[in-house]
Amino acid sequence: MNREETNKINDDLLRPLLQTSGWFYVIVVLLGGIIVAGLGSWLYQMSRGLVVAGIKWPVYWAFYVTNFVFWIGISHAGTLISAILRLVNATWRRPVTRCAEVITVFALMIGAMFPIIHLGRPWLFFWLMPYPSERQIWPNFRSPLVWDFFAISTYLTGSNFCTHCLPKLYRSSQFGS
Amino acid sequence: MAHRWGMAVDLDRCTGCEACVTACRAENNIPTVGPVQAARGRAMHWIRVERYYEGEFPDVRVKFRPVLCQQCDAAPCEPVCPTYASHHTEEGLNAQVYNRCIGTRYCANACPYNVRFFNFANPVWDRPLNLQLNPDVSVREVGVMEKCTFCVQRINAGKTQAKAENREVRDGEIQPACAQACPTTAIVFGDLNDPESEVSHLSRSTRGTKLLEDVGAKPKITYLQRQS
Repeated sequence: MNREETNKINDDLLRPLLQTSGWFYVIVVLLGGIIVAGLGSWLYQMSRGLVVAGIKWPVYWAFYVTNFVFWIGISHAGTLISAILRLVNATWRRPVTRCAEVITVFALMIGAMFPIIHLGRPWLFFWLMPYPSERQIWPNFRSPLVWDFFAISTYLTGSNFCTHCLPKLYRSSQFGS
Repeated sequence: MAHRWGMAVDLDRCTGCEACVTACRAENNIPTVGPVQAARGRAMHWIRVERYYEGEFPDVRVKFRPVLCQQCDAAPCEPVCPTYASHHTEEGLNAQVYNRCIGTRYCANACPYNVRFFNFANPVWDRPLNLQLNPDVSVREVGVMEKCTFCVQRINAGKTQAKAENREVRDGEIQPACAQACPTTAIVFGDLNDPESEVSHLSRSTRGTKLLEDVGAKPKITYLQRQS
């Protein structure tokens, strides 16, 4: 592959990153509206309590935890597809692998929101994380919920660095400039 | 010797009058949620009286069982709490630290007895109940789990009184609100580490059983009933 051909491929690849049409902004407004609606609902839930979420005694976990598991599952599927395509060394794999890796990272980020939304007092969510506080209270490492935090953060770090997602972004930034 | 608080509930004496439920609500500042939310399963009863019907229609016998936190020795709610809000005190009580609770509700899911209650909404007391709040008991915020404490404020007050008078706590001196209100004295509270206390005698009774014993949570409440 000569240099001219490489440049052409790179230009084709990076065009949607560098040039945006009006539709892009329409979609941004639409999806941004969904985000604003979600944030509003969350603030409403925080002010009124989880009574608005339809959860009751004795079933204390409901669709927030279900959503968490669902999105983690989607994320696992992304990793699985990308890993299998890598392992069998399929030459046509590149675009599929990229899609799968992006799904992994973003589905995980969506999933990681739900345990926090699920909390009764979400403004204290950082008590789930091990950090040296002035009270020297660490989270209870026997609790599976603390290991949820470790699982999500490990998976997020791993899928960002080990699946070449960040290196690819770095390369595109190099060509773009 | 450290205390180990326990309880014995004589089901043959229980008439199901629910005086214990009312007394508990008054003593422990338990908020009311109103009829609509109560029907949706958001009522909080630290102690409840379960009803069981035996026999066919004309020949029915109703059995009552007051169920409250069993203050388990191997409590399933404790290891699952990520913030140690649910923890074991030196006297074997199953304490809930409201200020540490962030409302993951894991403890309530782990509890086999369904005796943990969550503040789904901001706590309210219908007038004039707001005028009778007990100053010895903290009011819980929205998003916090709460449950029976064996009236820990009364236990501490009793111990302080005994210390001030330079003596040991007498058996029967400390009574939680439910035991105090029980007209048939079906509920007996005391120190299980004192082999001569009434609750120790009752706990050794051949009529005694534990609730859901096969779960292995080692509850400290013994239910007494005629074994047939």
